[in-house]
Amino acid sequence: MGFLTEIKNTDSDILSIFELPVETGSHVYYEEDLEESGFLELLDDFSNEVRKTILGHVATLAGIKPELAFHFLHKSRELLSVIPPEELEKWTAVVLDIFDSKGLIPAREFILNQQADPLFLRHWGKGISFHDIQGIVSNFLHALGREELHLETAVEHYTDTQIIYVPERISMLSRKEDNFLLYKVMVTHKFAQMIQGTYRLDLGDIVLVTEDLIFRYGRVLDQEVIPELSRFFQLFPDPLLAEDIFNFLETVRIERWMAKTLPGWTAK
Amino acid sequence: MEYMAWRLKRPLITVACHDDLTSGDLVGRYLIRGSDTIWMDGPLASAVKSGAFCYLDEIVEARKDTTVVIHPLADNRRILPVEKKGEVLTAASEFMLILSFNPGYQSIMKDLKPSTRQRFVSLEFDYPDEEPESAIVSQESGVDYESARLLVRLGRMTRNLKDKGLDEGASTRLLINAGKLIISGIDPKTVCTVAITHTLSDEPEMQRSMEEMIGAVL
Repeated sequence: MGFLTEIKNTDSDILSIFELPVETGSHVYYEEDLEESGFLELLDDFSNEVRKTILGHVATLAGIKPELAFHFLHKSRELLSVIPPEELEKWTAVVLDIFDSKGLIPAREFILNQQADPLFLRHWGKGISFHDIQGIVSNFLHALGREELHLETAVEHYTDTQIIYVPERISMLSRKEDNFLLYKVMVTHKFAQMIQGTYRLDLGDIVLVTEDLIFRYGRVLDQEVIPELSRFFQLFPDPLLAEDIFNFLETVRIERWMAKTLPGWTAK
Repeated sequence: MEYMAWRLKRPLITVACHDDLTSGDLVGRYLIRGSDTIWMDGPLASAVKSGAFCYLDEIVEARKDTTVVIHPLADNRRILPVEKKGEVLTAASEFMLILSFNPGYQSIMKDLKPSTRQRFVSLEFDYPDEEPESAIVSQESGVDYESARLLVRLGRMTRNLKDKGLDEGASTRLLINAGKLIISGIDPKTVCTVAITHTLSDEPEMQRSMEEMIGAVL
């Protein structure tokens, strides 16, 4: 049960948005509490234009859940050091989406955590999120000619020949479009490895080579090791070095294929 | 079709079939001219008489009761009954009947009756392989072979997206038109955007995907 109090400081554009007292999960704030805490001065350093923009979004949030508007005001300075004022509309929409779909606590956490929140990072983090470009990169992959391949996120970039795993986010490069290009190149590179047969090796096809290696280095084919490519590396005195050289040469080969097939990228 | 008619030195009569096409449109009808009534042969009757090639384009678009009129013409009888005149036309020996339709557009409602199908030999036309298609695009549009090859590569990529966001990939005709625009001096990427991307899809994500393809290929 609650009751409303009348606002005494009618000059405050901030107070005029809220119905008092303002209740949060842990406190109830009366006008005096807000004045003492500096709540009414939170936007003093902003230009009139930015202040107006912020208050517009505060009013939107307050109309739905005043607590969210209260936290937003507290975090507005920090937030606007990371995103431009014109992004506030999108940010407010994200908050309201969370509130609608998950409730008050996740929405409050989103506001308070800011850059530590994965959803915030997805929208405003450095670099580019896979989530944002998944549809485009999937279409690109299918256009290259492998409709059965899928994309998923993982810590490492690799493929099991059914799924190409890519990082959740790429921020290696300073420009967003370059990070996007990197996503496309990664996916295309793995695609090319598959269609160019990087992972296909039938030792039965290279019997003379394996016999020569066995003769030269005295190592034997370990039938326990799979796949055959790994078994092949075991024939060398330094299997890791052999694998590195193989990867290097394969990369050169694949990049040549990419340059020939997708010359637009090379031109860039 | 034009090439075949030219090679065999026969006239070609083409009919673009549609829902409202009647057997009368094909065979012929009486027309009122002044105070007289005159008979006007339809394209099929004209072809039968003159030994021309009658080409019924997009035959599945015509109603089935209309297309049945070709049955006696397309079997051993080679005759065309003209009911309104009470005549039976026997086809000249050079007469040939050709139908075409695009299986990609077919539905249960738009299919060729088996009894009609089995009166013909069938030639299936798919997209040409990359090299011949590049040669066609280059030849027909005037664009150099290398540019044609890139257009074709892009076209083939869009075809891989059929039923994955696109109803149809870029046709050879579309690529030829793109080539013609390039020849006219428009920037190739702009050409691909207006002639391919926006022609194939209105959906923003698909358009963006195609723009990425253009950027990768050109």
